[in-house]
Amino acid sequence: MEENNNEKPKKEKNILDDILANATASTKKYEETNAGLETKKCNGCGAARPDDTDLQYCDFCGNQFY
Amino acid sequence: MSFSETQNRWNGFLKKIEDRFKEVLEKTEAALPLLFEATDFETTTFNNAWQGIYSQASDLIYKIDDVWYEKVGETFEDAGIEFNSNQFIQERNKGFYTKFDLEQKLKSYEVKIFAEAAKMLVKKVKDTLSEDFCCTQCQAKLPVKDNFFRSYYSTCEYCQTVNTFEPGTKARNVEHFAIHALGEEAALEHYLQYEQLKFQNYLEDREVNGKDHLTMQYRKYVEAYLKKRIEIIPDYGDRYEKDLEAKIALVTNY
Repeated sequence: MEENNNEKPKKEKNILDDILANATASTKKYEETNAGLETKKCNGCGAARPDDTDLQYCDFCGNQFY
Repeated sequence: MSFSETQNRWNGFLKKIEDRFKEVLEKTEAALPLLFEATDFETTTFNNAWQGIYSQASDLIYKIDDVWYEKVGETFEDAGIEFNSNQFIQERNKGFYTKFDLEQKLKSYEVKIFAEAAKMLVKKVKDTLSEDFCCTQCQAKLPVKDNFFRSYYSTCEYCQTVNTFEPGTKARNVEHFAIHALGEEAALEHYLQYEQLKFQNYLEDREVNGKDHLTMQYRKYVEAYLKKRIEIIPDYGDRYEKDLEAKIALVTNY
């Protein structure tokens, strides 16, 4: 009788534990991006893109950004 | 088996289902927020874990219908209760009521658990976005929006350099995960009421609540849901009418 009482909670605990363990183990993990700032810089002259300028070409040397 | 024996067993079975359901969901309510924190607010693992638990809870709910149609109804007939008599319908409806009650509770648990996780995520993101972010060229401090969760250009007012602000995966998840959960929480009461009206129709097998009444109730749910989203991301205000129309069309067109 005592053995049965001991077994029951163990079994019930496992149902939820199994689901959580399975979700943790089987979910594919992707690399996270952190919050931050970046600036597109020209490969030719290294200038950063100033406000109100062409996104495609560098405003200083005319080099193509993309 | 006599009528009262059958009735007792049927009542006992329904009680067991309710108790087991409550036990699973109460444990889940305590465990899932811990999992969310332990995985550093990783929403996919959280969703997958909930799907497993939802499936367990749904299986319990479906057992009520299965057991009635496979065994209990027939046992009542064997005990001398005529099929579709008042007494027969009364016993069958006990199952319907329990099933509906558990479905409503499952929805409530789902909304509550997701909303709690969403609040944790939003707090974490707001903390991150309140940190200092500096221009990549001159290191001057740049203002960062705390209610916009996609990347955007931010021009430095000192050197005029265009910086691209990336809010990060967690912040993006506010839009993909948290606002839906918080919208659902704000609108839950209306949704449960909508389901209640549909259940009355189902139980009486006729339109006790007409289509207009149902649509009006569903509209309350959608309005509360969308207004909460706008509260978190004000940009959604521009498309409120369009979203409202589209969401209502889901129930009126099908």
